[in-house]
Amino acid sequence: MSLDEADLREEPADPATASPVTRAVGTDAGAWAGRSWRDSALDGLRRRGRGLRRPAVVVPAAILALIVLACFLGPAVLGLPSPATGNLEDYLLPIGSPGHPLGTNALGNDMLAQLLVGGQISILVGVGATLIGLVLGVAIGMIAGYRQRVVGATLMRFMDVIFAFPDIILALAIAAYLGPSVVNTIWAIGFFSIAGFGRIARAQTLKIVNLDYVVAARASGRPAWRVLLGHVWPNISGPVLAYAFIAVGYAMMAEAALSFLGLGVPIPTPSWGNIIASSQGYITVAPQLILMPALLLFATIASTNLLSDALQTRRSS
Amino acid sequence: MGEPGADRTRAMLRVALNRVPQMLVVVIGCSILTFAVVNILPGDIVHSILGEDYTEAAADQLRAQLHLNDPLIVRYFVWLGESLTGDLGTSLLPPHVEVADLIGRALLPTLELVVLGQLFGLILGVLLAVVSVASRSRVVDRVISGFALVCSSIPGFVMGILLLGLLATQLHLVSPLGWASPFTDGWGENLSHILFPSIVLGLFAFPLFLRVFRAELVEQLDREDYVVLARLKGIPMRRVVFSHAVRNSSFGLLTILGVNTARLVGGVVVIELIFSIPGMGSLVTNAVIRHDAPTVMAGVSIVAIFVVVANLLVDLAYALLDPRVRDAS
Repeated sequence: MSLDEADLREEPADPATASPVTRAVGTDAGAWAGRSWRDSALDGLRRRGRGLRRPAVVVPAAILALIVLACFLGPAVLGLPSPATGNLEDYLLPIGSPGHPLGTNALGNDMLAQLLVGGQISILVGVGATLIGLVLGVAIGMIAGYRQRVVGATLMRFMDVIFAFPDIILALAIAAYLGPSVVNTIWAIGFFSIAGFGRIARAQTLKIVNLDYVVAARASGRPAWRVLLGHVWPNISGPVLAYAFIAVGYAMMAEAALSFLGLGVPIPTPSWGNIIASSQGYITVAPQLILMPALLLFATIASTNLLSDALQTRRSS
Repeated sequence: MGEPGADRTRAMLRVALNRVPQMLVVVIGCSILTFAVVNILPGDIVHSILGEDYTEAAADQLRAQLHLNDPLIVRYFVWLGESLTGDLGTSLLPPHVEVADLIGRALLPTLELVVLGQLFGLILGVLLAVVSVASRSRVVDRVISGFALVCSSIPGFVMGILLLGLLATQLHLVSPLGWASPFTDGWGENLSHILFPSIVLGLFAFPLFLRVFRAELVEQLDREDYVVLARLKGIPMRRVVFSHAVRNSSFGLLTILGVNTARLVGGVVVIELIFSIPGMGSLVTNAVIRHDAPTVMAGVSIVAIFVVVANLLVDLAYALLDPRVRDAS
C-alpha cells in the first residue's frame, strides 16, 4: 500500500512507447533529441528504467547528487582551508567575507569548509548506518519469512523488541557506552535501523515465498541461503531499496540528534548535527550558523524522502 | 450472536489474551537488551563512580557491593526479581536517590508532552487532510503536502531551536523553560510551559496522520458505493466528505496513534533537553551519559512498557470499534 499522493496523479507517458515528440519535450529533452544508435542500445535499459525519468525522481536525485558531489569534491576543488584550523581573530565573520564566502563560526573556522566536510561525515554516517541496517535487517527478515515456525517467530519477537525501543534511546545508550566517535555513531544508528528493514524484508518475503519459482528452487534441494540470495532477494529488492532512501534520511536525522546530545560525532570533526549544536548559543547574533547546516540537512533528507516516495509509486503503478 | 455489548467485551478479551504475552516478551526483551548494553559494552561503572584515581581495594569493594562479580545472568535475574517486587534500586550517583522516586517525578511531564503532541499532530493532520481533499484544488493539496514534507524532513531539535529563536528574536516572546506541575502551580502555568514543546512535537507527528488520513479519504471517495450514491442523490462533494467519508476513514488514524507513540517518545528525548523539561528523556539521557546503570535499566523498561501499553490500547480500540475485528473469531 503506497500512500503517496503521486498515486492519484496520472502516470506520465512511458518513454519507451511515447512518440519521439513527447519524449523530446519530456524531462530529459537533450538525451532523447533525435533518434540515434543510442536509442536502440538503450532500449532495454530504458524499459527497465521506465518511470525513472519523471521530475519526481530526477529533481530530488539531482539535488542529492549535487550535495554529495559538493561535499566530497568541493573541499579539494575549491582549495578550502581545513575546517578546524581557523584564526580566533576572524570569529563570527558574516557571509560574503573575503576568503570566507560563507563567513566563519565562533572559533574563526571557515563555514564553507565546515559545512562541506561536515556533510561528508553526515552522509557517511547516514549511508553507513543504513548499510548495516540493510544487510542485517534483510538477512533477518528474509529468514523470518522463509522459516516461519520457531526461527521466524523468534526473529520477529527480536524485531518487535527493537521496534518498541525508542530508537534514539537505544542509540544513545550504545554510543554512550562505546564512547563518541564516527564509527560508534554508525554502529549505534545502524543497530536500530535493523528493525525497519527486517519488517519490510519479511513482509515482502512472505508475499513470494509460496510462488512456484521459490517452491521449485526449494524442492530442487538447494541450500536455503542460495534460494534466499538467488531467488528471494532479487524479487524483494525493489521495496527494500525504496525504503533504504528513507532510512538514510532517518539515520542522518538520528546522527544530528546524537551529535546534538554530545554523543555522536565528537568535535573537532564537524558534522551537520554538531555544527548546529555548537552554534546554538549564537542564534541571536549569527543565526546563519544554524540555518545553513539545517538547510543542507533538510534538503538532503527531503530529497531522500521524495526519492523513496517516487520509487515506491513507480513500483506500485 | 449475542447482544452487541457482550460481543465487544469478548472481542476485547480475545485481543488482550493474544497481546499481553507478546507484550511481556517485548518488555523483557527490551530490558535484556538494555542490560546487555549497560553491562557488556566497555564503559566501566566503577571507573565512572570513583573517577580517575582509585585503589584496587576500593574498586574491589565497590564491585562486591554492586555484585559486579556475579555472572551476568544471575545479575539480570536478581534485577528482574527486585523490579517485579517494586524495588528499582538506588541511583549510583550522588545523592543516591531511589530510582522509583526519580521516575515518579519524571513520568508526568513526559506523559503530558506525548499526549499533547499526539493531540496536536492528530488535529493538524486530520484538518489539513480534510482541507486538501475537500478543497479539490491541486494547489492547496500541493502546498499542504509540501508543508508536511518540510515538517517530516527537519529534525525535531532543529525545529525546537529555530522556533525558540524565532519567538525570542522576532516576536519577542519567551517560551518559559522547564516544567510546572499542574497540581502545585496550576494548569495555566503548566500549559504555558508545555505549549511550545508540544507544538514542536505535534509538527513532528502530524505528517504521518495527514498521509494516512488523506489516502484513506481519497480511497473512500474513489471506491465506495455509498459515495457514488450520495453524489447521485445530488449531495455536494464537500458534504459527502464531511458527513460520510471522514467517519469511515478514521480507522487508519488509530494505527498511526500506535506507531507515533514510539516515534514521539524518541522525539521527546531531545525536545525535553531543549526546553529543559525534567521528564523521562532528560532522566534517561543523563543517566546514560553518566553510566548510572540502575536508572538506565528502570527508565528504559518503563518507556518500553509505556510504548507497548499504548499499542495495546490501540488494538483494544480496534476491537471495540471495528466490526471486522470485533466479529472475527
